[in-house]
Amino acid sequence: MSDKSGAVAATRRTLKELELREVILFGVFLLLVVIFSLLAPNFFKVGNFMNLGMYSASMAITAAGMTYVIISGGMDISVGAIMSCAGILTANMLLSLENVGLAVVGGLALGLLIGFFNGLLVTRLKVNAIIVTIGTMSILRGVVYLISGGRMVAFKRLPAFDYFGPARLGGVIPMALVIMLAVYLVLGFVLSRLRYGRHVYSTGSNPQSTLLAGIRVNRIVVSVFMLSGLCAALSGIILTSLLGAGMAQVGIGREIDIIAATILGGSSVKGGRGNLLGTILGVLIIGVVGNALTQLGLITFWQDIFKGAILILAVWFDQLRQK
Amino acid sequence: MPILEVRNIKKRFGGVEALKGVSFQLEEGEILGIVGDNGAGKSTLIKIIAGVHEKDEGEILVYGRPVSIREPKDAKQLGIETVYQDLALVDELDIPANIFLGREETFLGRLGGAIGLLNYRKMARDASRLLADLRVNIPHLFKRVRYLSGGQRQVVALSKVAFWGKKIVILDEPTAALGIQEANKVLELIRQLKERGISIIIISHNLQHVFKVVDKILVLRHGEQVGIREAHATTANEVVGLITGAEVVESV
Repeated sequence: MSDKSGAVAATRRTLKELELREVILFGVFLLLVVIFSLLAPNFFKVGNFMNLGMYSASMAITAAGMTYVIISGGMDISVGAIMSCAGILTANMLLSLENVGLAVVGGLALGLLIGFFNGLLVTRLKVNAIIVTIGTMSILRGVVYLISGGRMVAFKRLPAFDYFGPARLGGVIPMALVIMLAVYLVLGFVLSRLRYGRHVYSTGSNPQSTLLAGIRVNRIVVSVFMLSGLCAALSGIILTSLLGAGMAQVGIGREIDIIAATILGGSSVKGGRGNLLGTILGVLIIGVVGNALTQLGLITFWQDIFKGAILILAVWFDQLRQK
Repeated sequence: MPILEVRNIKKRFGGVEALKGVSFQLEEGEILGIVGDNGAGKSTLIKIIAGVHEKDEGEILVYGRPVSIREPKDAKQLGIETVYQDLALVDELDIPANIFLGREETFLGRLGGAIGLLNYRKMARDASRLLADLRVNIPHLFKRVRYLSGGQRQVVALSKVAFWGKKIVILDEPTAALGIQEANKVLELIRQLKERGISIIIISHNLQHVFKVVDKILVLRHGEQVGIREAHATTANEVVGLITGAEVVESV
């Protein structure tokens, strides 16, 4: 009997938590779609939604890794630069090797490696993750321009590489969306159903208690940065596939959107809180705002102003909720 | 045979002698209170037993066997559980998650264990059964513990220890910052742990609370052991005298 009531209570709790934040976020998303459809005539079009969906998918993948990092109490400012780096590397490898498998694995491995160094620096130097990853961001931005010379890296079009972006599954759904969905299903399962996921929450909420419980906190921290690097690299590869060329600037500045979306989605900068459903809703809201502002003809610095404002508002709401 | 014996433990931090040779024995099902002013060395002593600090000199014996405790894991493996003042629980996890933290129950045998597939149901069931056994009444099993009162948190932390600490439990200020009713509940729970045959070491500033539950009292001053008294054979006045140094120091 107690078994049953326990399970029921668990379900009820899940519903209750969903009720609040995610439903509000979804409402905001729908509201924005309605408002922008009325304001911008080209917004409510299948083509535009496909576009929005594909670019949001790439953002969402980076944001999934970011969610793990923020839940664990960290922050990864270098994701945008990792996206660019991995994209450029993959494009260069496609150009020289003409082998999709190697190029993709190379890009992903680079992301993992950078993430590993981020995690190592954060745990060994015991320096705030924001500072460490600002450092790696700056280094990577420089490296990207050194490699590419700031020029586009055009490679011979290989059909297999289209499966990382514009190719359509069953002729309908863009592969970018399919990959995103797969990433969210796997990472969502890990976060909510596996011991590792629980230890990520625990590390973010109280690293000392977690350590005293016999959990290797440093390993958790290094692993979430590696995951974040991997996600950012995959996202950079998808963008490269969508654009059909390697571009140094694809990820530059994207960290703001991604962090804003993740925090808006309910991940707490104090650690220990957040989930992937919230993150995807955050990504959709930021994506829709960016897309609509472009449709309305507002130049990019207005978008920067809006995104910065959303980031600050999201942090403020997070603070209010903590009380 | 004492379940835990500590012999002539010494510890220094730089130029400060935090412990100048402390010895005591803890019998099975016994409660030992450690008292002393701030900086007397109480925390250092329990942190050495818990594996947070390493001792410079001395011996620790469990069931008469010398043991080496270098990190918290070693202490846990010997059946020594510690409940720290502010570190007992993880705020953003619920009660079952806290009770099972680091020792989660999984499904699907070995494979499930290897990937760590959480068995929420079993953990929820065991947690609620445990709380019922201990006659603890907490209405919201699935609340994040940050929303629990100080007393409820302490009760959850002690329940966790009852569940996992098989032999020896160390409590750091278990009743600090609690109201009278909540403190009494915690003291009642400590007596229940003792009834289960668990040996307990309590650090506390509150002599009234100490006298309510302990069998023996160890008094420290400036890192020095100034006395061990049977609770029934001493008075609060004598203990206060030892703590402040008003009484003649007994030779150790």
